[in-house]
Amino acid sequence: METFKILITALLGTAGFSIIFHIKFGHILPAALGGGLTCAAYLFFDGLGCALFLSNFLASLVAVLYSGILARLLKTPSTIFVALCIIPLVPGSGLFYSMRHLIVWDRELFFTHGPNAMQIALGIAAGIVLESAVVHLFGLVGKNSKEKT
Amino acid sequence: MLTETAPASSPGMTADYILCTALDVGEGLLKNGATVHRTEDTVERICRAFGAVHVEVFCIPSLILAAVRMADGTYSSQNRRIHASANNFYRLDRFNTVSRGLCSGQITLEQAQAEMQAIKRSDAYPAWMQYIGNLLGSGAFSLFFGGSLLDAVSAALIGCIIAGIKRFLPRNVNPLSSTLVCAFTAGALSMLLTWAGLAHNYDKVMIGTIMLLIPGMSFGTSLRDMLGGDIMAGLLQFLASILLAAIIAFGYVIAIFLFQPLL
Repeated sequence: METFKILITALLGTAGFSIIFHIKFGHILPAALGGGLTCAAYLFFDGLGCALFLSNFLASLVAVLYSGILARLLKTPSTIFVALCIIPLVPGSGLFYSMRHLIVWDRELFFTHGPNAMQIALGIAAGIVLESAVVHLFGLVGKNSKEKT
Repeated sequence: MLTETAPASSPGMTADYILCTALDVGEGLLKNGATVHRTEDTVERICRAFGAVHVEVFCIPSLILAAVRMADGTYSSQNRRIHASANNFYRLDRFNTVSRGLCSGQITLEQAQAEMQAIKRSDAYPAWMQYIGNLLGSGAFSLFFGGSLLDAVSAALIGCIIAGIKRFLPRNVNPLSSTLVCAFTAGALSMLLTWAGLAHNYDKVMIGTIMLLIPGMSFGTSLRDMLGGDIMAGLLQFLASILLAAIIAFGYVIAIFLFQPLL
């Protein structure tokens, strides 16, 4: 039940952000599903016992792959979908709690929330970086698809 | 109108005009959320498609510098200052279409200019849809991070107000100050709604609204830019995203300090 609630809210939240980022009406549903999928991937890897960095990294890879596939199908740049799909991973609560415990100084809580938020942010970034590194390595794939679209 | 001949042969095309149009497309992309790499690539492609033999483009999030040399030896060098950018993927997509049309010779420079004027006034949704988007975004993420239903309702209300602030704040306000205003307002309203008894946990309300202000992708893209060789652009964006996170935190903290005695 709890998992269901998280997935649904991730989906709705991503849909909200698709409007904020002004994506085409027809792309809202795929983007929202991507947000839900990314969140599900995170929960899955987290459930397997992966560390925070690793599960966020793998989930952001899922987001990037999904976006890449969608971008080919819908003929739009994949960044559009990546930006939306990773939103459920963004460490909003980590940032909030770490800054709160930084100001109202609580050493123990600050040093749990702060590094956690950092790990999440780095995990997401690593997923995005790895994808672009792969695209650069297989530069031909990237170029061909650009000319096609 | 589809032109069969290569556009480079049409009359009245100077290096200045070609570069200016290419930069208009580049500016449109960068302003609406494209990466630096893509912007540089697009400007270069357009110039080459119109017969430039030598193109230099350098781009950081706030500036595009470009120079072209045509086959006949004429030379042009221009730059663009980008003051504010926001994610508007609808316009980004349309600017992309213009760029593709120019590169493949399907539209002329004049048609591209007319199309870009139209894009600047266009939008995917009527303005009020932004309120729905902010409402959904903040409400859903308040629930997502463990808030109660009433917390989500308060977060959604505050999300709407943030949308209003973003819309009616003058365009020339520095992005950091406008974020500070949004963060402080959201923090203050979260405290007040909790005080009034609508929400139970002000932290969950704040987390829902904080999601609207955090630049989600920019940390990732800044690292990618740096690893891809755009060190300047990456560093600037890296600093900007850290600074923005600090400013957001600062806005919420002032609100917590001011209104803590109420609770």
